[in-house]
Amino acid sequence: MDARQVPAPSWRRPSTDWRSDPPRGDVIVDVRNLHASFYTPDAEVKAVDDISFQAVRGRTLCIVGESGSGKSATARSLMQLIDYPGQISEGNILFSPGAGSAVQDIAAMEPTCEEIRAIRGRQISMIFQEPMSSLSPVHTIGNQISEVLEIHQGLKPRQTRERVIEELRRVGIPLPEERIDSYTFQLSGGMRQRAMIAMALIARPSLLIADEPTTALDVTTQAQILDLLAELKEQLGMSLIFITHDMGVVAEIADDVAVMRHGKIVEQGPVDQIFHDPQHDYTKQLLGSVQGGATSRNRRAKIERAAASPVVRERADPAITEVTERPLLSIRDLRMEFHTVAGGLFARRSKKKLEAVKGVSLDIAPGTTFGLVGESGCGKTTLGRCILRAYKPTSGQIFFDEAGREQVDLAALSERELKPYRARVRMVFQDPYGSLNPRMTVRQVVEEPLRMLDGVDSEERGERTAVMLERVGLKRSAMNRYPHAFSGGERQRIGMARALITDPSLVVADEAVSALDVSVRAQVLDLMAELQDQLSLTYLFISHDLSVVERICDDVAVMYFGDVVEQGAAEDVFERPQHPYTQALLSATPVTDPSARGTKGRLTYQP
Amino acid sequence: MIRFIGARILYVIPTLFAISLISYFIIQLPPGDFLTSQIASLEQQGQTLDPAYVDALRQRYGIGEPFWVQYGKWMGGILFEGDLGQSFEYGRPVTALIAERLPLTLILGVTTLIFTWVIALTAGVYSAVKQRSFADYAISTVGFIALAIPNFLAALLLAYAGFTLFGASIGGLFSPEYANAPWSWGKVIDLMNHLWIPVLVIGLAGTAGIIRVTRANLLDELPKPYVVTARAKGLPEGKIIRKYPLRIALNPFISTAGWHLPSLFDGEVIVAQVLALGTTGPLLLGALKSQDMYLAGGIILIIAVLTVIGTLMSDILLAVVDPRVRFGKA
Repeated sequence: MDARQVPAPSWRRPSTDWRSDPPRGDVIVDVRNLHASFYTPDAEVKAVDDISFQAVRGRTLCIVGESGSGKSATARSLMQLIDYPGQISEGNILFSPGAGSAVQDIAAMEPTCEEIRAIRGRQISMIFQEPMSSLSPVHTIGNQISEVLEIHQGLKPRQTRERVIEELRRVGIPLPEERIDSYTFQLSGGMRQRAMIAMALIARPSLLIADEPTTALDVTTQAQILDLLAELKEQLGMSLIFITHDMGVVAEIADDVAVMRHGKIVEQGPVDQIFHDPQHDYTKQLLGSVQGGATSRNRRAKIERAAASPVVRERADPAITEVTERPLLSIRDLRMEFHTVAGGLFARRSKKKLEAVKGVSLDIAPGTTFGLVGESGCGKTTLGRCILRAYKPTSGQIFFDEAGREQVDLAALSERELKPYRARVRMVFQDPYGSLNPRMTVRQVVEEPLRMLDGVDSEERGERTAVMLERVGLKRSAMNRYPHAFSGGERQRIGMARALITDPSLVVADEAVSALDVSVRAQVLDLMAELQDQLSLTYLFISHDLSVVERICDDVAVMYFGDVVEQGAAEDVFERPQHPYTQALLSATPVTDPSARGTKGRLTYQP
Repeated sequence: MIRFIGARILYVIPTLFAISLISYFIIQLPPGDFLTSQIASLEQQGQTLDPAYVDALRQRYGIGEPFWVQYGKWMGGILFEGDLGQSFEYGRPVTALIAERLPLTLILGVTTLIFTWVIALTAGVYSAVKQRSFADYAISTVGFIALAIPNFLAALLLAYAGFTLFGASIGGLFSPEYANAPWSWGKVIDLMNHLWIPVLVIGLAGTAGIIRVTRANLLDELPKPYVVTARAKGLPEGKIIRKYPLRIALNPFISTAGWHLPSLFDGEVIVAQVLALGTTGPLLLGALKSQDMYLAGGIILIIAVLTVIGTLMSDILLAVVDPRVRFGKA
């Protein structure tokens, strides 16, 4: 269609004759030598590069890999759903919905033809990562679910209402009679994903493809959705292909695993073999970044550091603490309220008061890493922003007490008085893409905080930027390039450099590694630990990821709906959780060992 | 819903008051009044008027009284008697003058509106779906050319083409033989023969903007995950686009749909003037030129009121169409 485009092969290609070698009867989809490419104006980008695998009826196949590994392109190829300008260029996808039923080659079908449309939603269904954006915001969920029956069984919406309600009940949506007429924005993330599952399953497909269905969800919701999928798979006798980057999730649900990297499958086999006897280095690396390896090293370092820091002495002998060290940051009864206008056409417009932080008190000792954990909406980010004074807290005190300086209450300072402290408390953001201005060079990005300090001339700024870039593991030559030239991990290093350029004492890292792939995440965490030692930094590490927090934090506070429900030393909180919510949170975290599956009961917390 | 509409209507009242005040102020702004410009044009023709006679006229029309008194009289007449006042130039009630031209104005306005939207939406959707195809570039080119050519020039060119190629009479919406004839099928066909020129001129010029906005909005929506979801259900492409992305891409149009209400009424001043159409457009232009202030004021006020009502309708329509607006989520 585009004159400038590299010519793509035509759809009707001579395929290798698979009829002489039909797939085994117990295989629902047999992928042979699949290639899929994206045809851009400049080049052909191979997203899927000659992969072969089989999904066995009634089993769960996990395709695991990091971003850009081609796992999503593989999943979408199975339904001819690759976005333009991508397409399948070679290979076979041999699909037979039931044992003994006719085999069709999906790879040979055109993406819009009638045959593939008869398969989509009817024989093979798909659920996606982000249920909010994967469902239409302007249609009710009932409308969108009943549409599947309308397409494949020719039923009118009013004939199917009962069935849709029944399906919503099956996926565990409370009050399905009412929820059927809800819009997506009226449901929580977990409910939306349940509605999505109901939509995928209502026509009783024989194969369900789940493309990172729990990545956007909180850990407790993730656990519920994984349990639900496993249960429905049993009930309905489906096969499941599950795409994920999370080895913990793989350990929870997989029967078979295929590990992908750079468009190729590097290793595949039953889940026990992959976890307990991995052959390929990359698989070991993936497992290492969640299990032992880097962890133990970090732990050791942390313990050594903790032994050297006065905090431990503080615990050992409370009498000394009074004299030796005061916390760097102590928050007392901090409250943050937001006022929103709610209501609409049918309801009285009302001003709602939202208490994001409800009287939190905590102390952060200098030189330590303080973990703040909780699920989305619990107020952890708001708390972080109050400390940075991006928000002005409604009430409470934030005492900032650096050695050799006067103690101040950040909550009470005016914008002008705050200015020197803007260089002392810095932030690292979650999204390494969104948090760097694409129109500024790395030098401009990193040196910008120095510009607000008086008496730092251009030459000195350049020198300090270069030194800082080297410190975070980048080259000096990176200074004049733009952020788009860097990978996610490198961008996060740039974000670290920007935070550290003013030589701060406290760094608030808000989900700083959540958007990174596991292998990159381990590197960035190592870097953070290294910098902490070198520059005697204190971190407030905000995260929803318990495994990371457990690994790197000295002290932990657990937040739930604006309250800190539990806080203490990391070892105590993780090994002997006192509060039922902490217990529920820990029980929902996937264990990265398939043989431990089902040994740990799920706890739920209802206040 | 009722509360929402009620609140909106309450906002409308002070807005309308302000508009009427400003429009009255503006038509009063130019130095002099209808009588002075009338006297000037008579004097240019070598005639003179008896100053006593002029004073009598001044008295009769209340010219020279303070602004507020004049405004009060004008608004009072409109509010209590539905009387927009007398036209100085025509010596007839303004309401009668407008009513006379209203049917043709509405025919022109509605036809143009439908023409514009049918063409523009189809072309916009097509060029988004077939992005970077020959058809996409062709549609954009034609749209931009139509946008760039001044309306009056295109009107003149088409009128000339219509005259030389089809032998259509120039000017007006009717041939001379039908101009004052009662309505008949012949007259309707005659109207169609003349109507296409202004509809084409005004309509095509309006399409470019809508095509661009439709195309851009739809291109934003097409790669959204919910479109992939719809595709994964097995929906045919055409239905996917109509039901999901197009629906959302149309929101900006719905929120501005009301703005077309006044354009139905104003009768496209310049094109109508060039083509000598019997719509309200030329009437307004003439009234402004001769400082026929009640006629000009009446037309401007109606246009302003229609703008406000149109905006109100858009607000309500958007709330009906988009649940996110209805539930205060967007």
